[in-house]
Amino acid sequence: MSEMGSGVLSGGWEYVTAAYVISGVILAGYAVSVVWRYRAELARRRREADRQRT
Amino acid sequence: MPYAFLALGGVLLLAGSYIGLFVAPEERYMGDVYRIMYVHVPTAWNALLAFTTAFVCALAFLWKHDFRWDARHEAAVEGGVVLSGLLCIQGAIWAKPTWGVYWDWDPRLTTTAVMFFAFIGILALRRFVDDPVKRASWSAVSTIIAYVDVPIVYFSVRWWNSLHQMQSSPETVSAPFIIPLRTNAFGVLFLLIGLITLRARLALLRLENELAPPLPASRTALSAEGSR
Repeated sequence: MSEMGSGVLSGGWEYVTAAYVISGVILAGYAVSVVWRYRAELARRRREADRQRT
Repeated sequence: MPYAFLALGGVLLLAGSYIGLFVAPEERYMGDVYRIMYVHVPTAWNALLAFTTAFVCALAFLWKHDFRWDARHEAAVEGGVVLSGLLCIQGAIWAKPTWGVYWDWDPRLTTTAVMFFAFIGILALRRFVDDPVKRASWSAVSTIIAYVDVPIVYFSVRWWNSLHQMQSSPETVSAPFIIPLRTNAFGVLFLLIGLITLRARLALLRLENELAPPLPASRTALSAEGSR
């Protein structure tokens, strides 16, 4: 826990860790979601095109 | 090409975060807590950039009536919403040890929350309108209206008394702090470019599917029989 009083903060690594972990999870999660949705849509279109050909 | 941007953004973010966490020195007053700035500030810059991109795409759609601009608009709004949501979370985590509270109805925080919810509303509007032309036009107009808040977010710390500090510039930031800040800023930027490009392609594919004429019933039945 960070300490206040002298006007100088000490510690606080738990906040730093939380900020970096949450940022990584949200950015990576969104990137995976966009790539996954895009590939799923491409696959759906391919299946649709195959069905129309047969 | 978008995957190259995603990879480059990821590498830059990893490098910038490593420098920010383990190489950059402590800040005199905020100690280690200020290291949150290395992700918070790049997220803020790029969130505003994403909404500015959305604003330009909305104007371009209304001018050209080209659905490629609508797809880019949707992608930029979604990217901006993700970044501004993340921005609020990072800001709350930083505020607790420095201000003593996670949230305060300070002008910068309030205008940022308004921006976040306004653009979430635009994404919601797009989900509820079925007609692609109405959806594109209404959401473009909504984006232009919501964008009024973006410069207010940026200038709020200058216009009103705010707990949030004023913008820094390279002249007011020591050199060792600039390297991780810029590396992460470019990291988030390249990630955003890659994601907006891919998300716009996805939006266009979905739109093509929506606008394509449905298969005749007999053809569908034949296809189903043929596939058995």
